[in-house]
Amino acid sequence: MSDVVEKTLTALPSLLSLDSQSGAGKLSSTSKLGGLIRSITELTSKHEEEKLINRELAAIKEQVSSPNTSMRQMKEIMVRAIYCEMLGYEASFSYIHAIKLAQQGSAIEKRVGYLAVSLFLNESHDLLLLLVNTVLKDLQSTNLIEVCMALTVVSQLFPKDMIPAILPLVEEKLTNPKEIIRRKAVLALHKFYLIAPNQVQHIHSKFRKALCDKDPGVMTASLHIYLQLIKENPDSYKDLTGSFVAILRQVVGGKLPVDFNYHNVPAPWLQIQLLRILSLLGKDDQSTSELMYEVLDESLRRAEMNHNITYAILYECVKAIYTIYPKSELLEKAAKCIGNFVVSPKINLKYLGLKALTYVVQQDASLALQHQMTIIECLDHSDSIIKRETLEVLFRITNVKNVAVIVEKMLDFLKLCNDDYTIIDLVGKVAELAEKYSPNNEWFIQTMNVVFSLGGELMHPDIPNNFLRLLAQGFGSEEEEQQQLRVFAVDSYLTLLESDTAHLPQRFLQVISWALGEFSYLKDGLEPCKVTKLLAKLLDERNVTSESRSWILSAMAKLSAGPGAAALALQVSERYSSSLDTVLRQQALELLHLSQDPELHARVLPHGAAWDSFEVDSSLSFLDSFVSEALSQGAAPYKAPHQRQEELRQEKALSLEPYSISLPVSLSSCSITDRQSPTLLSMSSSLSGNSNELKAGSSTLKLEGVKRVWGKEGYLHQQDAVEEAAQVEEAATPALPLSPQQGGAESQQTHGDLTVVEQEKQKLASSLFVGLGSQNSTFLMGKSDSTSQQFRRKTRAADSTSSGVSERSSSSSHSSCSDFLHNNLLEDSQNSLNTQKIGVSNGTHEGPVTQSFQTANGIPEEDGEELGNPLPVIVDSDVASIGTETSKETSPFLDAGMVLVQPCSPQTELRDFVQPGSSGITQTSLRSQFPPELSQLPHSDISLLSSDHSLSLSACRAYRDDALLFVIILSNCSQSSTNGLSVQLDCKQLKVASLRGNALENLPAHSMSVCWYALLMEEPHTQVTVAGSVSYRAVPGHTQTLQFTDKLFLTDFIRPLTLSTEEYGKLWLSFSQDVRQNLKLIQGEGDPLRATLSALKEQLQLHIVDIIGSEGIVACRLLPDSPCLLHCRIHGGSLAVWLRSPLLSLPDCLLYYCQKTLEEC
Amino acid sequence: QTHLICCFSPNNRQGKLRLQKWFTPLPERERKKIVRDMTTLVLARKPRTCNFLHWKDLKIVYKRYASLYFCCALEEQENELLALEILHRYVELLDKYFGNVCELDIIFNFEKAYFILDEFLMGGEVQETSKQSIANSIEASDMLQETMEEYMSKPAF
Repeated sequence: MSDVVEKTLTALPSLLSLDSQSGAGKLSSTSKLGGLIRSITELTSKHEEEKLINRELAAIKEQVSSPNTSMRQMKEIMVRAIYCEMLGYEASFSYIHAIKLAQQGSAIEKRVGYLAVSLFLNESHDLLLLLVNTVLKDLQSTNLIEVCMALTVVSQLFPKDMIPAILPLVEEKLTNPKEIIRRKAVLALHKFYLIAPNQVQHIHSKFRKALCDKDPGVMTASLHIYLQLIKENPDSYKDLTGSFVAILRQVVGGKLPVDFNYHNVPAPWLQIQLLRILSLLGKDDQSTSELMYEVLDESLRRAEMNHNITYAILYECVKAIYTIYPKSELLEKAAKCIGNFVVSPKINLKYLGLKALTYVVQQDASLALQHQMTIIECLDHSDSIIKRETLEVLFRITNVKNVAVIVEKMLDFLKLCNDDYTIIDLVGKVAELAEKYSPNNEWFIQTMNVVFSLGGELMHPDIPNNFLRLLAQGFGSEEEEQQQLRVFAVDSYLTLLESDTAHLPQRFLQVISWALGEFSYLKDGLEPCKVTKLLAKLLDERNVTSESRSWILSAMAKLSAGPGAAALALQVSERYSSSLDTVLRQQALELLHLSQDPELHARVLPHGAAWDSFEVDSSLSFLDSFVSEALSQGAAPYKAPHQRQEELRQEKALSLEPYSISLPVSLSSCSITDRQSPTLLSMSSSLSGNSNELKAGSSTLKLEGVKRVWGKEGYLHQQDAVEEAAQVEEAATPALPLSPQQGGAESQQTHGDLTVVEQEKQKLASSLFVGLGSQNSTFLMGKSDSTSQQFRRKTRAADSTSSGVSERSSSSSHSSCSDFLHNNLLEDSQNSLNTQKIGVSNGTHEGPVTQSFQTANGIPEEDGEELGNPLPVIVDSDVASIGTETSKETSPFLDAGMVLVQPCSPQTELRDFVQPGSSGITQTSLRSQFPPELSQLPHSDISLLSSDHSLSLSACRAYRDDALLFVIILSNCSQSSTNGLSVQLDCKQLKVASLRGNALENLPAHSMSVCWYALLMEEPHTQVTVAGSVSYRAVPGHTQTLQFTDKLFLTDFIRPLTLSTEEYGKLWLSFSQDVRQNLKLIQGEGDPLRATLSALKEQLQLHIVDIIGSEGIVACRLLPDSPCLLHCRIHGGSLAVWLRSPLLSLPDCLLYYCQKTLEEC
Repeated sequence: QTHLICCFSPNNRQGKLRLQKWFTPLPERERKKIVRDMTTLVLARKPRTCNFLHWKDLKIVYKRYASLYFCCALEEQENELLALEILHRYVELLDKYFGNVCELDIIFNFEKAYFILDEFLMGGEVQETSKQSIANSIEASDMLQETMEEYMSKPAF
């Protein structure tokens, strides 16, 4: 065999030379590759293959580095290199040549070059920078194919930092006459949007153009971007709902060219994309949802059940119907559709049906009831994937009554499972269910025992920690039951320890030893000596880790008070006081002391002491004397690790590579990986809440620290909240109409002759689906649910409501939605009552002003009192100064709500104020209306936002140090006065520090009023849209509304952050989010760095902390108080900027504006 | 979005990779692990089971065509049936290009298979579904090759 190989290889060079000499097409690339492939397939062992490939690679290496190799040969060589890489052998030497081939080859060689690059390199590879020029050149090429290749490679991989370089060229392609290029350009931009959203922000309008493209392919491509955009911010795209619905209607109706059909189904991918977009838009939005009911109905109807692709569409359709605002008719159809899936003999379809069911039962648990027999069958399915999915459905419908059966099924599955990821996931779910719905103490302890045995070391550490906390903390009310639980635990652990312990996982051993140490005194007639003996036995087991040993030792310390135990303790401590492990040694010594001094023991480890009675001196002040002594003897003072790092950094402060030594450099492209990594473990949500405890668990000492944090009060408080929620549910229950559906148990028992197997299944069904029918649901909401709360300790408020909803929803979604409406109405009526109470009419002008006003947007109850003070003050312009004084007396802005409304009626000035914002005169006239405290602030131009025949509304932004003031100027340009003015401002992305529904006063004819909102940006956005409305009555009894929107930018919320260089250094190290980029440098007179920085400072309100040589440090904050630090350095001809902030996207957003500012300079 | 498309033939209970295309940046080691685990998982599947698998929090969708397995890895919440159809359309495209495609076509002309994939999917999203348009654009590039090779084969000196 190897002879053949030898021959092939020795022949290679001669073949090559032949090729280069004649250039004849006799030896096509396939023959050499073919030869390689054939000789590989002839080999029998992996070892031989390795040898062959290594020789092949050596030959390739020699050829690529030879100057005589032509591009054409290179293309052929590259194909072989790709093949070797695919087999798992590294050919990194060829990467650079792949780039060279893409650069220098002719079109066809280029194609292979680009292919090799996209297969060899990944996004963060350094060599990729070399590709940028090639891509630039090809994007400008007149050859269609070259442009296509460049766009393809760009969307496959491109360095994030270099996107600005090619962005204009890709953008330009959006208007290319060829639709294939437009389509690829749109997809490339989609990719850019995913990896660097801020870079493509400015081309949103062009996306709209792509959406309207006459070629359906380009339009389809643009939907990828829209799906992403809408996912992030559905509110901004509600206006497109109509267009999406129209497109879907046309597609479903078969209006697209047949070219787009896939197995006679019109453009299925497009349909699915649209359905996904619609479901995002319609979520929690009734009016938008109403627009799509019809087309969803049509899609359901049109999709015939005949091909996989139609099932895929139906699935998305069902999902959309259950996501948007519910409509009963559609829900019924969708439920029927899922039914067809679930009962289908096609296994893939069954799987998808179960997946849909998992989604749907969260909203309507009764659906599971309809398919109970199928679910039972799936539980015993031979395919474990189907089984797993069925368990997922069961997990969602668990309640107090069926928890035992469902948990048993899950544990059965777990016992046979050997996939780590599934085990982690399922174990977490079982633990969650056990805590939430446990029927009794004994069951709970036993279930958790199985969880700990099965979960082993894989299990999320929250599970044992939560369990221990549950044992440790009283439940507040039923002390007796709590003691019972502990005794059960002690009992079962003793039994476990008495048998073979070798198979028990370490985590479980730790739990056991802790529980025994704490609670074995509770059990009557149990000698501590007996427990200690068992623990000592465990301690000597070989497979016990030293961490578990430490847990065992501290348990023994707790038990060492008794006479018999002391002797044993002495033995153990003698053995371990010479242990190599320092922690064990320390604990052994502690054990020794404690066992010999009962008084000390009683003081340090009192039995059954309340958990909050421990006081831990976290400042370690008892060590002060020790420290001062050591210091006096010349020891160096302690420095925290970050401080040490910082000092290290300062030593290197002005070197060329300032931070690289002290910090792991996280390349900006790493964040992409993070964002998209498919392998991040997504833990079950219930487990994620208690990250504090992750750190606990290495020793008992630390665990006690955790308990202190979660003191009795904190817990009690949480439970109160849960109870309150439960009470609310209880109160609401009678209002729910009972649906005629029967519970599973009853409906199934009526059947007559059944085989034994079927009967068994039915029995299982009745135990699984008990509690899902409506009759039970009323019960659930009442007593039984509240008793189960003893284990619901980590339930958060949101959690409790959602579980309440899923339980209640069995009484059909109709009722739940009418219920919802009812609630709202109730609230509204209360609010409006409130409004009337507060409504004060103190107008001083002509016109009827005495009516009490009602607004739809009421004032939240709790604000009633507060609002009494800063109520809109309407004053004459003559007494404007008094007005402002009044406002000063009121509480500060951020607390006070709408602070000042100031109408003014200087007739002369207002006469020419018909079209505000249209001329400079009106600007100044408007400005003159500002109260002094506003007019002193820097502010933007006033612009007209909206107007109608009687009212016009202008706005501007005033920059106050602690907030952005959104100033609204209302002017009445009609002849009569308007009444019941009310301004409503809405923006989800901003914190509206003073958004209270506010009722202004009447506005006399030809007068204006000024009011403002203080806004804060807690989450960075490059730009946000604020929308609002003004409602008023021009004619009594007839309310009109005036809508307005305005855009606010990140820069509006940026303020300088003044700090010293030292403070900057400290802050810098503590921030985690960083981004780096090279920016344009302003070349002017003097120092370019200074010029650039001062330009940035001017435009973006930054603070220049210091400039040293070619480096400058700059700081700013995003309102209210999120800092962002910039480190700028001249590098080559550009400004290398490194931004850091504690907020995720702040550096990105700010960078965008820095870039924009410098581009404009 | 699809993370990975790959194609392998079974070989002693291990997969022999024929094609693999990643659409998500992942470290090399991670990639190798996913592909290795995936092939073993897929090959261990019994007949008459569904075409889906879990790998950590990813969904693997696979289908066997003659002696070749085609797989893709996607997010949990994605539509598995649709992914199955993506694989199917890809095989149809290969079939149209090679004419009654067989494993050897893909082994010996894997770069062509990659080119076809690039026309079909871009950045993990379906770019073009029409068989005819894809065939056209591949042909256009291939035509270029023909002429180039003719050109090259002429003696220059």
